[in-house]
Amino acid sequence: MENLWPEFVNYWVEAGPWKFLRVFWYFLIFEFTRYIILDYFVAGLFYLRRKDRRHAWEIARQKLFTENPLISIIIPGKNEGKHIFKLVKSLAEQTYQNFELIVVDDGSDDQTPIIGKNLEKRGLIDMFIRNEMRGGKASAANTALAFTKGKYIVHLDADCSFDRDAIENVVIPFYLDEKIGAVGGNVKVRNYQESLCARLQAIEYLKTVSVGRIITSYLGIYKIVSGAFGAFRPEILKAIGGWDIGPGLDGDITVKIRKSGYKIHFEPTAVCLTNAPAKFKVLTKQRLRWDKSIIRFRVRKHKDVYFPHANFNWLNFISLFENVFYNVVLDITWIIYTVDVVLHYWSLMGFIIPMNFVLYITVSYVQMLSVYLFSERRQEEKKLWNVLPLMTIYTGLYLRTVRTIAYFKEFVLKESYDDPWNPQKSSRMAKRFGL
Amino acid sequence: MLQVLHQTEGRRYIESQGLRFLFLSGVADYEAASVKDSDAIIIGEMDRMEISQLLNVIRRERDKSVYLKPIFSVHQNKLQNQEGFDGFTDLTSNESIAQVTQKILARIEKVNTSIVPHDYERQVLFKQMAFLYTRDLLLDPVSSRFSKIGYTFPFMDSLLSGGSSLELLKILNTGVEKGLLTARLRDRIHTCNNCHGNYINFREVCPKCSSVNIESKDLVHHFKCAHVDVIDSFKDGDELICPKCDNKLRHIGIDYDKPSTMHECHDCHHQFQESGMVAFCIDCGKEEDTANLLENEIRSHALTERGEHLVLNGWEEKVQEGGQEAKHLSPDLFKMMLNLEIQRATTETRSVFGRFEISEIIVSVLGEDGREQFQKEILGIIGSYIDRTDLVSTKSADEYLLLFHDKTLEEAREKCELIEHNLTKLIADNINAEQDLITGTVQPVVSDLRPQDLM
Repeated sequence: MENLWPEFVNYWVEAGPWKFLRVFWYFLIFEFTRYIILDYFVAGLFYLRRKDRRHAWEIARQKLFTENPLISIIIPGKNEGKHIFKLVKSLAEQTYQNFELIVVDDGSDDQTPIIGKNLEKRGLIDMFIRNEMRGGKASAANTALAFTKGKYIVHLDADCSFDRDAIENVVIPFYLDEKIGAVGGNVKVRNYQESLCARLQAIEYLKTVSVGRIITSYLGIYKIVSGAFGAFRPEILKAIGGWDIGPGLDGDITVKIRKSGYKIHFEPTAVCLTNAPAKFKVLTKQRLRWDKSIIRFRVRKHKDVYFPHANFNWLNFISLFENVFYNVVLDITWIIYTVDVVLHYWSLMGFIIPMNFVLYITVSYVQMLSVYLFSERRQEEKKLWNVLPLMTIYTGLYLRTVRTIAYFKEFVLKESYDDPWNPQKSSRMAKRFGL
Repeated sequence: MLQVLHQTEGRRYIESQGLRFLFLSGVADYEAASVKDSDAIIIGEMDRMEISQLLNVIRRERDKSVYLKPIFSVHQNKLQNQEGFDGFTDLTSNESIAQVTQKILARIEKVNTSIVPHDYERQVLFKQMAFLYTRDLLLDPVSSRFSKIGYTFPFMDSLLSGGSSLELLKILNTGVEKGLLTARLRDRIHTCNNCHGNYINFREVCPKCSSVNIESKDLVHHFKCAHVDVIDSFKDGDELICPKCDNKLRHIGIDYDKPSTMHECHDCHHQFQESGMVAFCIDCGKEEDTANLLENEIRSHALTERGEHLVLNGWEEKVQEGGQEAKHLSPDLFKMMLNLEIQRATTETRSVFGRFEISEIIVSVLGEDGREQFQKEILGIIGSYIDRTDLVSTKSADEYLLLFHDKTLEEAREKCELIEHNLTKLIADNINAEQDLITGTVQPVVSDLRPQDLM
């Protein structure tokens, strides 16, 4: 039987657990503990409490439909005209229909103003606001916020589409707990069949967004309501002054709401589909921007969360610490781990590298099993299983490299302030005031 | 040198350079015979209304030696242009008006009025053409707040009751279509589709409740904190303070900008960027969508060679639109033809009677001119689908009658269906309506029918 195992497996079986732990300490302490043990532990608790949750959900749903409040759906964006009609169609299919639709055109230089005005005239959107001068995503969202009348605000990206009950489901959590200040929707990749790049992101979204956020939300440390689909209480948004200059404004506003003393909830049944970048070049650009924002907002702007003060909150601390730890600290730790292994076990690299791959691929499948358990699109998502082995390279090498570059650029050069994603006039101010 | 020569039966005459000028100081002085006997007219001190009345009376006469008579004014002002005076005199010394008179009189002689058009509109056109010829003038519109369409056309205004109107433009247009007048665009006007008035107030209104009680406010974007709201929320006395971060906004373009404006309706509280626009007609009080206003071109005109030829040789009745109209009969004539067909049907059934009724919804939204144009278009379409021997008539824009000769009921029905299909398509392309817009029926012409039951 042993002859059938590859040589490197036989080696590790004979080397014993202590040596295994010494060599693969990074995987066993951080990755296996966090993404397998903790996830499955919480998933187990989540499963055990499903009846209570279902009961509370039904009551909350009844409350929503009895009250039938107006919901303000806001869609800020630039050059999004081509998506708006499809989005409006998608929203027309919603089970919850008492909503107003406010579209803000942030200085588009395409056909968006014509399309928007036309849709407004035809009564398909309630308000179309054209800002002649581009002010950036935050200013566009704040423009919409100023004109909302609804009891709840749902922020969407124009290129998204929604499950028929998505709006209903993203609002129901507000009736579960009055302390919930914002609800994040479950963003999944629509174009996963377009390319390998999109397919890998689809898996990543399922693991980190769909399941990852169920876990963090359950633990009370959920830290980012996606800009693509999230719901808010307007009184809180107005009290904290709405969105601040991005990039990464969705994570920033979530932290601001947390700091105001409200809970953030992730709702896996509020499903939104979006198009992920289909090419690695575009993805790299997107991820550099996202990763820089972790340094800018979680390390710099909201550093007060890490220090004791009158409003110190342990959950806020853990929420941000977990984020920074698993992204920034472990990124540095991984380099240390690599150096450690190279220096001490250079001769064993022929056994270490294949074993690492085995461990990470196995973990990928185990994680995917948890995705399978939670998902409402199981059959469809099975198509992704065949590219799972590549996730080790995608997350372990590609994303880690991009992340490291982004952290360096932001820590040393503060490059996020030069990102053309924001207009210069705003970035200049943000840089000047260290925002 | 002008001299007052004598006063006969209360009328004053002035002679100069061998010409006799009739001096009129009021409408009461006017008498066609005395105008005919004089070479020109001088209009004395009068108010505007009286001048207009006098000119109307002179220019509406049928005799070319009266209506084309040179007319001078003792005032030199804008009125001179508007009313089409031939010149100005201060009654003391001016030989130039005598020269002008001689030139005009020589040209009047050449005008051939032995053949004049029968219908009123063409008579007006002919008179205008004769005026242009005798004065060697360009017909230039003059802006005027007293005119219903905002412009007056010298001379021609006096020919039509009510002065310049769309009717006048239509007559001039006929002249252009027939190649008698040239046309050069000077302006475009919008008139009420009810009364054709140009005195229109364009109102910005709330697109939801149509109230004029709306207010526009700038939006302010503070760069530093990305806060955006209407300017009122930033105002603190004379200063602008950001309500989100309490910072003072000092410099537009550096600290803040104004990306757009928003309107708010104070009646229904609707907020919007694009206000609605309605046109309120001051004359008749009708409020309507600006898209429903009639757009017309104001053009200057000159006589073409053909026009001059007509003035010199008399009106030819051949100056007519030909073609399709031959099939279009007046209702009376159609009734007569139908009666004949009914009588013929005592021996055999040879003809089929058809009728198209167009929904009132369509017709009611059109103004008077619009209805006329619509009627013409529909007749044109029907005319293009029927045979030369078939006849069509209409009494109103919503009803069209057909008489198919020597056709079976089936053949006539096929024709009608084809016409109905094309008319429906044409109307549906222009009007958004869900119900049936056109109803077509056919029936054989039999001996016991009575024309009055069908029409």
